[in-house]
Amino acid sequence: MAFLFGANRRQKQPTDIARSIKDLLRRLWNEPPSPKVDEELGRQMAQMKLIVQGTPEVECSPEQVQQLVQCIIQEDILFDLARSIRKLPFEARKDAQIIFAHILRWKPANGRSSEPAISYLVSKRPEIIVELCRGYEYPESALPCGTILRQAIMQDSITAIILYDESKPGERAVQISEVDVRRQESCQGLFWNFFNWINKGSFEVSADAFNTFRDILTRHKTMVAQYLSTNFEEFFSRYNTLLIQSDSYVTKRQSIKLLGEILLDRANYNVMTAYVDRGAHLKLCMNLLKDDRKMVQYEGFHVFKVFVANPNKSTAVQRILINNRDRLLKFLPKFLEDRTDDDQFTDEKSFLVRQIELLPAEPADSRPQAVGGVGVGAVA
Amino acid sequence: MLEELGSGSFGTVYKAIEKATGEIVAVKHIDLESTDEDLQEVQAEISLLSTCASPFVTQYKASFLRGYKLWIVMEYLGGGSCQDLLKPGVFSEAHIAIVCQQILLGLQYLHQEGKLHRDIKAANILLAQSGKVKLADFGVAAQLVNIRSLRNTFVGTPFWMAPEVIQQSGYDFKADIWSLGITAMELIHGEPPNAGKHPMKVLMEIPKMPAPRLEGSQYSKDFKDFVAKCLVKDADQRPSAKELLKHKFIRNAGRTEALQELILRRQEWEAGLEKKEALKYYAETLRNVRLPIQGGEEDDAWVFDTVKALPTLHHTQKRRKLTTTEIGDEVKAGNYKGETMKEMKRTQHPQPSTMKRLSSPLLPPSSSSSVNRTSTKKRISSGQQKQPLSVNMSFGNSPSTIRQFRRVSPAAIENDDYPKDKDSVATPSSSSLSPSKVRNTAQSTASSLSIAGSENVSLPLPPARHTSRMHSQSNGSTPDTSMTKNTVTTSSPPQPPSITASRSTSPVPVPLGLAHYLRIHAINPSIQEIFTRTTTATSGDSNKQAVLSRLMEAFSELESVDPEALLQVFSGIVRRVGRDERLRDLLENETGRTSPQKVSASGAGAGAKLVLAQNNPHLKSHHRRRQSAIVTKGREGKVTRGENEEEKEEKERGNDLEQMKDLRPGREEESENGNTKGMEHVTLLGDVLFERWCEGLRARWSGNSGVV
Repeated sequence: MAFLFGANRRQKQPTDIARSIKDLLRRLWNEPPSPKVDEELGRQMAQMKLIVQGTPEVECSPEQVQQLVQCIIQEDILFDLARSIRKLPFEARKDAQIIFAHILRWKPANGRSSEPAISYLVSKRPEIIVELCRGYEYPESALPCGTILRQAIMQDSITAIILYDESKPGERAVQISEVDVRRQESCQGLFWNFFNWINKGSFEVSADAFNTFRDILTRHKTMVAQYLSTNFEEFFSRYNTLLIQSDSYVTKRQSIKLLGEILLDRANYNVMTAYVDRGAHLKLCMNLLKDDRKMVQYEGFHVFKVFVANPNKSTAVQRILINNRDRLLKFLPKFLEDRTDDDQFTDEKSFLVRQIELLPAEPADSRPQAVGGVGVGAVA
Repeated sequence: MLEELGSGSFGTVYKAIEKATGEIVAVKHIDLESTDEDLQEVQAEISLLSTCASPFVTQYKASFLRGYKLWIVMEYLGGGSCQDLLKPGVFSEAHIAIVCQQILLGLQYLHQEGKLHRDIKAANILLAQSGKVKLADFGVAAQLVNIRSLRNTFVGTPFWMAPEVIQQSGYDFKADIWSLGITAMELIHGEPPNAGKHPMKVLMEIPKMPAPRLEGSQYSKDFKDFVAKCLVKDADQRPSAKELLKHKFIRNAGRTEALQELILRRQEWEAGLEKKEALKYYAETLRNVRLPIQGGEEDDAWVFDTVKALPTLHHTQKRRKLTTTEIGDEVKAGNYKGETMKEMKRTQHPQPSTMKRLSSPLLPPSSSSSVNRTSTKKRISSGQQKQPLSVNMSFGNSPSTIRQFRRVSPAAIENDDYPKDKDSVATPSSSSLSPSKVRNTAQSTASSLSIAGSENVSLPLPPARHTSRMHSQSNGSTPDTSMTKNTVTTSSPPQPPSITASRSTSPVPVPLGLAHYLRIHAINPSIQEIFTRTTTATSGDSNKQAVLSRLMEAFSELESVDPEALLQVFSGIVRRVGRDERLRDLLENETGRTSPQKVSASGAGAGAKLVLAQNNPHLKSHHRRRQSAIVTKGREGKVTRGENEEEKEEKERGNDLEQMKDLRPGREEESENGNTKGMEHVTLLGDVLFERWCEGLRARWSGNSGVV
């Protein structure tokens, strides 16, 4: 660290750096932008990065990091940082990302429970998370914000903020202690913006937004299962139209894959049964099998198999399958038949063929009377 | 889009001009459809690149989606890669010092950013026209979250891989330093240490053997020491990029401008080569183009298997399957030009770059053996690429970047001996196996030839059958399995008889490579297709399979013994098919049509009912249609011509060139007579068009090369 606090620049305490960064971040928003501020900010951010990260040669000092984290929390610097990322110079953006990463992960040396930065975020400043998500609005900030978010999402409380926040810009963000998970969302909230972020913008932004979206939906299963059940209708209507039928090949392919993952997750059993009950969903899915891109067909297959394998098919689903039985039986054996090295796929395919062969001639109501298993939202 | 530059770990790279700014950029096309793995891999490369801003790293500009292709726009570096620059000869120490210094600066930047390149080698070091050196190809690079964390993933290119990477015991930035040391040796020797050995073997050896050293009094002490410092087996003892920058060898390095000499040297070298090769090439064209076209799949073979083939072998399978669907789009997008351009280039410079992209099947083996790899090896790898069944055999046969291993289906392993049969062609050891077998098959089925002919059961033409598969795939319709199964029985026998029939007729020598090409691209895939189908569709008629693999063996055998005969067999088949009355009727019907759409539509309809679908005309015309589209595109740049004239023009030219065909060796007169007109007409057309197209490209290319 010697070079950091070397001769001419008298040792600068982490707190000094933090405060000057705070000041600079405010000035960053002044008009017209000043190159001097940019430059100085870049320098200070690089220093701060060195404090939290060290260098390949020198370990960082825990005391300094502790000081820094405390000061950053006290001075509420993360909020300013989060909303300013897009205004930062190129290298400083990456530094911001690294600083965030380290601070969120940091725990005091005595090993007491949770990360101080996370509890601060959740109880005091959920707005920071909201700001980070809004980073997707701008190409400059999308990727660094996305990286920070994906790390933060590992905490279920952060995921909850994203799912349940409905604040408007400038308003106070959601307090997760006040969230009623049974209440349906207005579907205008923070999370729902992801559908837009995925669907517009450049490839990088859209793909990154999708990654975050996927993490939100797969990381904390019980929470998400609850959320999806409650908001079943709106979620899947957007998912089906905006993502699965997206014009972007990448979005389309990835979202079908994610749908398969969501449906096949044990935690999402209720969501799955509700989803495969719908004839419309099956139709959508069967169209995917006929898509002109093979990988789309392939991902579509993994959703389709859920419909067919479901022992309690709804009448609507049965009817579609029965009406298309001959076609399916002709179609499936040749479906992606050059996938000879994929044993699982081949097995599943022949399983589906058998299932379809075994379908009754007329849709039969084979399911038990009580529909208790179906998701709350789906019944409503 | 201007021209093809090369291929990276994910896709093909083109030179292009950004319309808005007029700036020359490199555009990397990534075929997302063929990456079976998560798209996230591609995304990772982009996000890594996009967070790099250093004068020592190729600058990322933008990326966007076009259908299922991702275009990544990057800074264009006109000097080529160090590997290209090695072609005329090895580097001097002074040059290496500069290159290494620049790489180290690049690595220092990356390592500071917590990034590992993981694939440092001459091929991935690019030079700007000015001599500036930049790191490229971040296909397997990694971003560390924590600056001190370790990596375990087994990636890189065998010869350049550090011992700790191979042992998978956790590695960090120092792995790049090792690769740099190997690269330095590559630059002075022209190849990495152990280049002659099998990559798999090298992988085993690197951790066990003492680190390679630069030896000999011709090298300076400093250079030897630098290499030794990079190649310290214990990663902890290995210096960092920063430390190495202080090394005497590096400190004394000159300015990057000096590297312009290397770029110039290569340009001169290429200019010399071009002249020679162009001449040779021209002489060859006349004979050369015929058979690929008969094969009816030269699009497939030319554009996609060789050019687009990924060095990462576990992807090649997917590639092969997708080729057909891509063709249409390619042509539409006008990219075709660029791709074929590269092919031409490659034919003319069969040098180490070829090695990287796996060998081109069109190259006569004789011209491709200039590298340390033997031609035998090359043939194996080029063949394997086409094999749907070979999975891991080819691993490491090209010095390509390894990503991960892939799960191999047991079925595929089971069938592994199948491609081996084919490999053995190239190795003389097994060549005593089966001439008799060929005869036997021939005799036992000799009678069936006439029967087949008179009954008008398809005399299936394997290449055409291949086309049929292509056709049905590209239409998204489903190939009729039962139909193909029928042909399994009928298709294999008729071929051997014609061997005997035609062997006597033509003593004219034909290029070896051509026969090989034919076998690899027309016969093998066709047989294999049936083979696979027998395995998967029915639960394995082992007898049938055995016969099939014997048949294929026989072809290989024939090729190694007498390539001309192999060619004769096929010209014989084509001729006979042409002579058949009903077939001919069909053919003439087809040629009478003018609208391509109509042809393909009706063709698709007929395909479902007719047993003749395999070798039949609608496929030909489909093929021709494509061909003409290509030609149109190919010509646009040079000659301007109304597109609606295409059809007419084709026909005229076909007639004009009938005489030309007479001059061609290895062809019989009869094939020209009126009876066979329908068939021959089509073949000729393709032939002629293809030739014109080649010429156009050649002209264009030589023009361009001056610019580059």
